[in-house]
Amino acid sequence: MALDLSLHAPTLAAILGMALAVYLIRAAGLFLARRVTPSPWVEAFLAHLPGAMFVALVVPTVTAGGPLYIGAAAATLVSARLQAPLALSMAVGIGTLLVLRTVI
Amino acid sequence: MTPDNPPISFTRDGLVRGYVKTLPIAAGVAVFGMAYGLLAGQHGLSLAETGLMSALVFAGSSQMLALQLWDDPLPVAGIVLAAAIINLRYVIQTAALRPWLGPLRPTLSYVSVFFTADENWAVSIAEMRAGGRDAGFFLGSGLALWSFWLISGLAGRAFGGALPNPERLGLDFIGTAVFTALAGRMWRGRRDLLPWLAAGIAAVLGAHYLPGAWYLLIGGLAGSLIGAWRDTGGTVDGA
Repeated sequence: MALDLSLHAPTLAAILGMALAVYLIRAAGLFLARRVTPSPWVEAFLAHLPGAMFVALVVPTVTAGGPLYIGAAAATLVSARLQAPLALSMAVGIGTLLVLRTVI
Repeated sequence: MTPDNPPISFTRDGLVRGYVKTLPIAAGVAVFGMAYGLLAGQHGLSLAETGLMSALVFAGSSQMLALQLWDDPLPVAGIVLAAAIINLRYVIQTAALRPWLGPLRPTLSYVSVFFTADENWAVSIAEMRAGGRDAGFFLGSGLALWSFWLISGLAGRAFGGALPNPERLGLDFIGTAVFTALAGRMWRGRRDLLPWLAAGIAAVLGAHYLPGAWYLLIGGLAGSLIGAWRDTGGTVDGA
């Protein structure tokens, strides 16, 4: 396989935009911590944000994917709740999907 | 200054210790990096683009999310917005690093903060709470994760293409598996039930009625707004 070193303008724009946005967020926390204390409401909002985002990302895909995806997602979820490392949880989810695809 | 409370330092030793202590976690994250590289290839990113994104963005969930939203034409604004939203948690996480990064030279602290990711942040906070006073640990820990993340992404992109039909290998489920696992690890008990339900319902409705990735924003906002509103007793200013 040849080394594909090409760069495309829209892809580059997305990468640089993401890099800038994510860096500014990282820097903002440090910057703000030196100056202001967030209100309890802001703190609660930010604390809920990651979980809510992950749920929002997963649920439409899983429900649209039907019983196979629901079963695989449930297995992934259980493994994550049992403190499995991220890589193992992924393997559990993908493995479950493959088994279900074979069986059903 | 008292002997119990030595000043914050930034040493090469601290940096090396942070790197070494994070190696096992970095090795685990490398599997995720391979998956990212594989997915990047499926979406037509070149090897250079795959590596550049890992090196500059250095945020696994944002990168996977970007690939899920990858389309032709590329929704650049939506991808950047989604990457920003999904990483807003870093605002609180880097704020928590203030005891270490606050006393450093601004250049050094603002370089260090670039390397904030969930895993090395957690390792560093643990070290800080255990009484660590060497801020070099955080940069070392970040560099461990960053180097493994970059190399594994490139490896996944370079060698993943040799794999057959992704659906036959269940690889269409990678993104969903990652976020389901992250959500499972993020669950903090019953108090998350209401916001998560709100996020899920709003997202499903959004995906049904709205174009593009708006469902993500709608779901995330609905869940966190309801959670914050409930936690602060139904008042916006938390009084």
